[in-house]
Amino acid sequence: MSDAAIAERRLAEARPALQAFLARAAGARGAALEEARPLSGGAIQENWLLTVAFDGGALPGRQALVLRSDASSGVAVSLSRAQEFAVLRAARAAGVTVPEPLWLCEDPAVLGRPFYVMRRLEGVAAGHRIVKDRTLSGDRDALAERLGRELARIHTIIPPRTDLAFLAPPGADPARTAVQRYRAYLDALRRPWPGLEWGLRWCELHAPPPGEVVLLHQDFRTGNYLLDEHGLTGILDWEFCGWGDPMSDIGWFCAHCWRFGQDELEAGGIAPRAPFYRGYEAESGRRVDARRVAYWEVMAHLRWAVIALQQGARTLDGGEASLELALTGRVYPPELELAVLAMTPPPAWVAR
Amino acid sequence: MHDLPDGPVLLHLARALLLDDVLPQLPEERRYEARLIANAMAIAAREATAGDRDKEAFRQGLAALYDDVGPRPQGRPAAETLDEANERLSWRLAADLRGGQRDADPEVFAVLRRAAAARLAAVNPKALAQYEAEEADGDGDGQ
Repeated sequence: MSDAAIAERRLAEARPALQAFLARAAGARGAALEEARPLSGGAIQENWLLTVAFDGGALPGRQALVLRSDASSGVAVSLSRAQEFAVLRAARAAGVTVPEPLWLCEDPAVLGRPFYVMRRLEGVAAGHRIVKDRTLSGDRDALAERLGRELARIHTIIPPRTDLAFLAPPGADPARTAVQRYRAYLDALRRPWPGLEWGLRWCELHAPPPGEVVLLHQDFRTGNYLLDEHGLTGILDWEFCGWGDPMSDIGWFCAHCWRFGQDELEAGGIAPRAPFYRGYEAESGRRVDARRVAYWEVMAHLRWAVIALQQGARTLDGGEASLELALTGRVYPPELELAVLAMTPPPAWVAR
Repeated sequence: MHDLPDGPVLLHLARALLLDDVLPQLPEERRYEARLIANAMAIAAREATAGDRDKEAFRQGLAALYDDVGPRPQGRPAAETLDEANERLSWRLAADLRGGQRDADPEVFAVLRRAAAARLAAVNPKALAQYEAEEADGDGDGQ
């Protein structure tokens, strides 16, 4: 039986308990689950589109919701659903456009694993479609500027925060900490990757000095926000949040590997950098440090390469027979490695 | 030596059948999977066609970095396969890079680039062609 079929059966069995939870959470007399459809594309979590009819309570009537639960194979580095729920609330309070987080359920009696429910947003997230279909969201410079502002709002969240105390404390040196983390990940894969080691060594030698520390989204890129014909409807996929250098989120957004083939549109394949930077600077009052961003773009390719290798390893060692994961581990790393090498040729090594 | 049509030919035919005839009959939500399958077949076919050529080139590149040539140099096991040799030398290079023994070394850089390009050619030749066009334009050095 496929994963999807197993999940579908589990949800069907949980229907009475889920309806009872939803009614209680919404303070409604009752909640009827009219539709439940799995959303594809979650290697780490399961997403369900729900249509629920509430009888009274906080959200009376028919509501379009998303239920997000941990998947069977969690990635250790990502947040739990309970933690993600807390981050989503913090982001919403900071003025970031996100799907409204509604209710968290940590009682395993309901679904067998923790989940939360949020309002469903309409729109398209797929990166390949967004870079090609210009009817989405209208003016692309305006979209890039808006995304810059959104990112700046995420970065207004700074430590310490009692509601986000589960996030690992910011290291004294985010860049060198990242180098060490990715080396440890490579070691765990038990295969040699000299091309990635080249890039990591460059990153070690050229690490920018520690500076400001803010909340990072750490997967803020084309493919992880929703657009409709008018513009942005929400920033998604908050499971990799952590503390660090604000310029690293900008580097991730602009990295070559997240332009979906639109190489000349350096801000996420949708626009030049200028409007994205303009929005970010206007909202944050912080200058975009181009050198730091360039550094974090090298790191972005290394990070994505390591994650892709980890996903591939789940089929090799983890006994998880998935063609999608296997191809991820095989297809992406060589191109990412070439990009890293292109950014770090011998003349780009400054003797220290 | 295999009977003909051999593995790569069979994979190409199977892939064409899948993409041209089967995929259009599939419901929209299963087409992504069909494309994944087609991609896996294309990679397997290219890999089989390339044989040991790229591995051999990589071995020679690595061996030149370490003067690891000749019949039995430097503790090399007697009957080492190409994969074993590449893995052994890759471990050594990886450790040297991490330890700072090969910083900014142009020979290492050249070997790594050739190897990454060969691996990319196997999994995504279109991306390699695009990458090489950008390099030729001179805007490949992002720094």
